[in-house]
Amino acid sequence: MIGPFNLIVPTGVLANSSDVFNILDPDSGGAATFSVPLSATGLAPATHYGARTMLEEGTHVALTAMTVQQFKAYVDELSVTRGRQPVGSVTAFKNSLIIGEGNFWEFIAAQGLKRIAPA
Amino acid sequence: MKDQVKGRPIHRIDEVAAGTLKAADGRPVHAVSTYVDGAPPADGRPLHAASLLLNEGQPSHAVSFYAAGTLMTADGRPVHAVALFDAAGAPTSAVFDPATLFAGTEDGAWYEITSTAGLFQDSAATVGAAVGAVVGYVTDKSGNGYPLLQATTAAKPILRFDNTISKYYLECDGVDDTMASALGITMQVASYVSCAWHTENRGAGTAFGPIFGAFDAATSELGIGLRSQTAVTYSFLGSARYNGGASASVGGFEVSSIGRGTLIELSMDADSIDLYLLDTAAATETRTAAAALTGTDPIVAKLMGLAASGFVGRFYGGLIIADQLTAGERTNARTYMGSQAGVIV
Repeated sequence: MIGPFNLIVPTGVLANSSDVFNILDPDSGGAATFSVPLSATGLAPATHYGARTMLEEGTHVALTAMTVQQFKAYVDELSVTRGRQPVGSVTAFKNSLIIGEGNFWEFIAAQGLKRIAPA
Repeated sequence: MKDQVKGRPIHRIDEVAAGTLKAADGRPVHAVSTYVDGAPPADGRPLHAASLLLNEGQPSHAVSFYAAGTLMTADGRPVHAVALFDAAGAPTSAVFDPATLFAGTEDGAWYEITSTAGLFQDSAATVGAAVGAVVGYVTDKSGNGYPLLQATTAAKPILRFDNTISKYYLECDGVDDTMASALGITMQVASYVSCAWHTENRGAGTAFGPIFGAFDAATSELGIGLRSQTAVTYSFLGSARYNGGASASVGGFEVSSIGRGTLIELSMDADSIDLYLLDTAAATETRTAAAALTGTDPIVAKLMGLAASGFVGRFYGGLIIADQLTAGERTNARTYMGSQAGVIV
């Protein structure tokens, strides 16, 4: 694995993102990858969700260099290999994902986002 | 000295309390440095000059730790015998073993990050751990079967090795890392919780949440936690929620501005709560009246990165015992856990 990498997805594609990462994560808990609620004000409701994670090298390439079609093929192949629930469309996730390296807090700040503190 | 264990290979030297390891001439040895296999620093770190003798009687100025059975001096000569002595000067053949705390089928858990043994990258414990890789499974060495688990890669801490103090540790990223025991522990009023951990940095922003502790799953009672704004503040969290509360916890206390290199220990019985903190400058021990505890709620062990704090914490090991320790046991456990974090208590 390489990384760690910072990931952000909009709340609207959280479910799709969770379905995709349920396949991409080599361990069984990938569906819970995006666990950090974010918003512009740092107050609920969350407009985005973030994660900081290591990635398999192939997955990093898939996320950063593949087209949507190529990425779909990659995910479908992994779902078979890993015996995970296949995902229908990856388009929303792939087109919405923001990925980068470095300090997580600077990364989300650069996107105009703050973490929402748990109650 | 050499007669006690002459000829037996040395596979490991554990750090012991100051003054308990003595050289042949009776002078105390205050530090033994260990290094990764085959990679001692160029200079070696000196013991007290000439105070540790080789089995042939020649002085050693530095000791490095090599692969099994090959303890050598800085100039490359093998060491065949090292003896340990207790504080009273009596020889002892082994350092304290936390396993003795669980010999009476005590409920609880014991975690160590002293090597890659017992650590796995995946939560199913099939892929062995490696430095720089995530950790999803930490074996419970107590034998009670409460491994620390994390099945989501993003939430797994990373195994690191600090060459300075020659220690493995789990690095929590302060964003989303967390591990928890798989099963509940029935915690009694008389309880002991200790963790060897280290504050790597302090970030700005709203900070909350424990690094390690034992918590009631519903109310988060009983535990060691950290709640910080601008200064690092460690708190015993009585009936306060572990991830909430603005200030002093109910029935508990706070000790402010503790620095890096901290071992933390919580011991409690029906009469009192003792909290022990150690940083690089001073140890602080605080005793307070016991909080009203519910006593028998199910508890899980948790290791957490501190969300939103920018805090990066190092976890070296932890002990949770659902019983009151004797003073001697607590001293031994404290010293042992301190050694896991590279500090001498």
